[in-house]
Amino acid sequence: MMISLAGSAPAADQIRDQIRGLIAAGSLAAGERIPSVRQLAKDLGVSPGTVARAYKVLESEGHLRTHTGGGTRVSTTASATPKPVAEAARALADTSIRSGIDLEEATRVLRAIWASRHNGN
Amino acid sequence: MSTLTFVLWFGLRTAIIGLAIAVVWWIARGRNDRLPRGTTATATLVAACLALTPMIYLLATSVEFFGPRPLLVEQIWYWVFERRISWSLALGIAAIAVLIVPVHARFARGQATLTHRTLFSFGHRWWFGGTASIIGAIVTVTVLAGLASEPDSEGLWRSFTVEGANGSTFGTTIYGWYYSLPALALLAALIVVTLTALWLIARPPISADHSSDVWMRQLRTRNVLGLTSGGLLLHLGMIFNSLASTATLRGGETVGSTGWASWGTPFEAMQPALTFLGLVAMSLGFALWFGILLPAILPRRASAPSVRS
Repeated sequence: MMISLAGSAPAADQIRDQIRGLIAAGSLAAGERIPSVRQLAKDLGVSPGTVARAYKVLESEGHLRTHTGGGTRVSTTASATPKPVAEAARALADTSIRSGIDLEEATRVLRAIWASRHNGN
Repeated sequence: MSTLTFVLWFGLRTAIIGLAIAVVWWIARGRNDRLPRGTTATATLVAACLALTPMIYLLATSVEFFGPRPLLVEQIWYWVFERRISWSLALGIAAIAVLIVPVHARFARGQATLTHRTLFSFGHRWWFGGTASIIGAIVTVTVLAGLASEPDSEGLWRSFTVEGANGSTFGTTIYGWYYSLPALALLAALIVVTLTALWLIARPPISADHSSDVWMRQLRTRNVLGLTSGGLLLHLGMIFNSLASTATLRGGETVGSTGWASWGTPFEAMQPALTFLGLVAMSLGFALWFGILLPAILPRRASAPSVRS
């Protein structure tokens, strides 16, 4: 999950829009922790205030929640993808790539296992 | 038994067992984890050699493999050798300091991954849990041995005495506070250096070649934790061996007009278990250190495999 800054739009707007898009697409799961303001600002090469502004808007929209000591997380009501499912999907992708299996093959395996579980239930 | 066989078995058996474990692991699984040629592979090789060479020398010296030394060297060596239990911690600190060397100061490129990075982001939970468990075991055993220790005639907390009949006592040395307090200070330093290394690995922005960068950070995190855990296990193993030696203490005296009684330590029955645990812990410690050395000896020519975080 990468975000990148390009074009002339304000950086805070770009950050906000891209995070919002990733949540909507299910790439960021409910309850998933996202980088701290400082880390993201440093990685992107913008001021912390810019990232903080984007996070604040997303918080006000209900996409993010900030907990003292717990960092900033995707709101549980904002994403339809549960965090364990997103983590398991990433683990499957990592293992498949390491094993030299492409997306179609991994999907086929998942479908087969899914069908056997479904039939078993 | 020839001198060489004696040294190999009695002095270096834990290193030999550790090397054997590392080679088996390397053949079974480790070949995919070869580091690409470059600064990281060189630093890893130097760090592993820096840790292993003095440790193996220490073990060989403990069975007098290198013969007598000049008097001045002997005096210095005695001071060093008396503190041999702490060697692996000091060597671990030095080796991790070398592993820190490939610091990648990356600059922002207007791109970022939306992953929260911490010291623990590039390792499995059980790696950190395992290291923490070893630290817990060391602290527990150290405190118990320290509490059992007493000051000797010089006022140094390294004596362990057992009371016989008629108020008589007999004693020996133990891994008491005299030895363990400097070791605990080294343990704290090792933890600080390890956390610093993990922080330096995790901190820079992920590079454009995302999968290679993450793979390299995972390997470096594993190597740092391997060096730390190896040093900790060697330290723990030497503590167990020291306590096993203390447990062998036996004393006897005449009781009454015709009787003879002998006494041992309260933990005499644990001596075989302590010896075994010492052997296992030290062998695993060496296995971890050799396990870091082997992938660095034969670095891969190609770039890192494609792996996503």
